[in-house]
Amino acid sequence: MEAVIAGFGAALTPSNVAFVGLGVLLGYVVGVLPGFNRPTALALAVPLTFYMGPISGIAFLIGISKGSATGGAVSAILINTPGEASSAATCLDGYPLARKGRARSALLIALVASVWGDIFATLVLIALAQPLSRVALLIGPVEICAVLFFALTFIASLSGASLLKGLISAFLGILLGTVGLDAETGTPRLTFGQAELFDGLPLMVIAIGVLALSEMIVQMEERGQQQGTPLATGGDRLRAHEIRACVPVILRSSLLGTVLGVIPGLGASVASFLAYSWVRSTSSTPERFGQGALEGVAAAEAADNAVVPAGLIPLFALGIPGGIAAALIIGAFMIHGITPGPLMFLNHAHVLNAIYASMLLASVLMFAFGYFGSGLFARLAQLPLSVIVASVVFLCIVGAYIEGGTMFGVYLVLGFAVLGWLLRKFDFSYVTFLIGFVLTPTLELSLRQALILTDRNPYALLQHPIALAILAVTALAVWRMASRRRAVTGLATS
Amino acid sequence: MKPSDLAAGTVLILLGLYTLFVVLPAQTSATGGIGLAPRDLPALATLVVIGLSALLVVQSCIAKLPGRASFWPASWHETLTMFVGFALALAGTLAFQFVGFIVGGAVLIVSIMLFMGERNWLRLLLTPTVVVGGMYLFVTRLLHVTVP
Repeated sequence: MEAVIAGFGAALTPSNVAFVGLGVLLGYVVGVLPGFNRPTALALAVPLTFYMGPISGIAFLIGISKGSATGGAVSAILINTPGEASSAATCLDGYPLARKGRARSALLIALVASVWGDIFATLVLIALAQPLSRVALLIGPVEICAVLFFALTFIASLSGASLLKGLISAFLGILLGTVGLDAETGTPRLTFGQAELFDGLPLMVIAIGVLALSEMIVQMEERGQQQGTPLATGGDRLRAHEIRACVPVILRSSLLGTVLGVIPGLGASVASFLAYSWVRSTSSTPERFGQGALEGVAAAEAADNAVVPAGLIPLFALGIPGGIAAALIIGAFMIHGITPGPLMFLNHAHVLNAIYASMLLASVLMFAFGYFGSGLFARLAQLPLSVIVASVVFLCIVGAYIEGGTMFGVYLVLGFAVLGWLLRKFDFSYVTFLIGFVLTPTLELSLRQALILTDRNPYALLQHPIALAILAVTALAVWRMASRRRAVTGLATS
Repeated sequence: MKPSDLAAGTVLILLGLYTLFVVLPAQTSATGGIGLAPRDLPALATLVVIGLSALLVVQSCIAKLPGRASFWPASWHETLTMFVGFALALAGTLAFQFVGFIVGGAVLIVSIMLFMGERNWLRLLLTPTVVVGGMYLFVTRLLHVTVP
C-alpha cells in the first residue's frame, strides 16, 4: 500500500489527472450513447495513447473502461436502452423506477453502487495481483503453455454459442498472429512481400476493424429508428430505509462481480445478470423486482463495475487478458515497451503503482462526473444513431491512419471489418479471435521453450505435474461445459 | 442440420487446406530456429482450424434443429446493409486519401447519415463540422500528425 501511496505522486501530475478525467468523461459519453460500446471506444482510443506517457496512456484507457461501465446505467434508466450490454440488467428495474418518477434515486443508487463496486475491485486488484505474479514467476514455460491453453479454451467455451466455433476463432487469431518476421530467425512469414507487414499485423488495426467498424456496419441495420425520449430526472429523494436495504446488496454484488471478473471470458454482462438474479432470489420480496426495486439497480451496477478492475488481475499477474478490454489494454502497454505479466512488477513497479493510483483517482472522478453531470448525460442519450454511427466510422478511419501513419492500415481495417461482420453473423466469437491474436507471441515463445525443455518428448510432461494438472482441469472444464451445453440444446430442441 | 455452420465449416476447411498446401510453403520457411521452425506454429494453427472445422461440419450434419434454416445466416436487409456500409466506408477512405481529411471526412459522415435516414439539415451540417473539424485540430495540432 505504501508503494501505491508513492504512486500517487506520479499519478497526481496535472497532465495525468487531465488524461484520467478525459478518459472517464469519454467513457461516460460512450456508456450513455446506445450503439457505441466499450470495446469500440477502447479500440479507437489505443492509438492515441502512443502520444501520451505510459502512465497517462494506460490510465486514460482504464478511465474509459470505468466511465463506460458507469455511464451505461444512464440510458438504461432513462430510455430503457442499455448504453452497454452489461447495463441490460439495470433496465429491468431502472426504467420502471424512472416511470414512477424516481429516476433521480435510481441514477444516484446506480452511481453509488458503480463507484463502490469499482473501488472494491480496484483494491482487490492491488492486493492480489502482486502475490499472484510471484507465484507466476515460479512456473516455467511448460506450465505457461498449459495456462495459455487453459485460458484460450475457457474463454472460447464461455464467449460464444459453441466451444468448437470459439476454438476455431482462437486458432484463426493465432494464425494471423504469426504474420511478420519470425522472432527467432528473422525470416518473413505470410507477409506476401509487403514491408508494412514485417512487424506483424497491428493489433489496433485488427481491433478497429473487427470490433469497431464491423459493429458500426451492424448498427446501420437499425437505420430509420429513433432513440427514445429520456424521462425527467428531477424531484424525488432517497430514503434512509432504501439506502439501508441497498448497502448489503452493493457489498455482495461487488464481491460477486470481482470474483467473476477474475475468471477469463465471463465478462460484465454475466456478472450483472447473475448479481441481479442472486439478489432477487434471496430477497424477502422478490415480486418487487422488475417493477422498480432499487436493490435490482444496485446489484446490477455494482457487479458490472467490479468486473472492470477485476478483469485486470489475470492481465497484470499472468499477462493473460481475461476479456476484450484487457486485450486492448495490452496494445497500449506494448506501445510503451511494457509487457504485461509477472515481470512488470519487477521492471516497471513505479508505472504499475501510478496506474493503481490513477485507477483510484478515476473512481473519484467517476462519482464527481456522475453526480454533477447526469443532466447533461441524459441529453446525450437522445443523440440519433445516425450521428453516432457516421462519427464513429470516421473515427475508425482516422484511428487506423494515426496508428500507422499510412493508408495501408486504413485499407486493412476495411478488410477486417468484413471479417468481423462475418464472425458476428456466423456466430463465431470475435473475442476469442482477438485474444488468440494477442497471445500468439507469448504462446510461440513458451511453446518453443517448452519443446526445447522436453526435447519434444511427450513423456517429459510427467516431470511437470502443475502443467499436467492445468491440462487435466482444462479437459474437465471442456467436458463439463460441453455436456451442459448438450443438455441445454436437448431441452431447447424438445 | 445447421446449414450456416455446415457452410462455414466447409469454407474454413477449404481455406485451411489452401493455406496449408499453397500459402504456407510459399510464404514461410520450414527450416531454421531452435525448438520451432518459422512454419511450425502457423501450420499447427491451420491444422487445428481444419480439424475443428471438420468437427463443426459433422456436428452441423447431425444436429436436428426445428424450422427452416439458411446456409447464409444474414437476411437480405443485413447483407445489403453490409455491402452499402462497406462501400461507403471504402468511398470515404478513397476520398480521405485523394481529396483530403476535411472534405473526405465530411463526405463520409454525410453519406452515412443520409443512408441511415437522417434528413434534418441542421444535424447534417453540424455533425461533420464538429466531428471533422474537432478531429482535424486534435490530430494536427495536439498529436502533430500529418494528414492527407
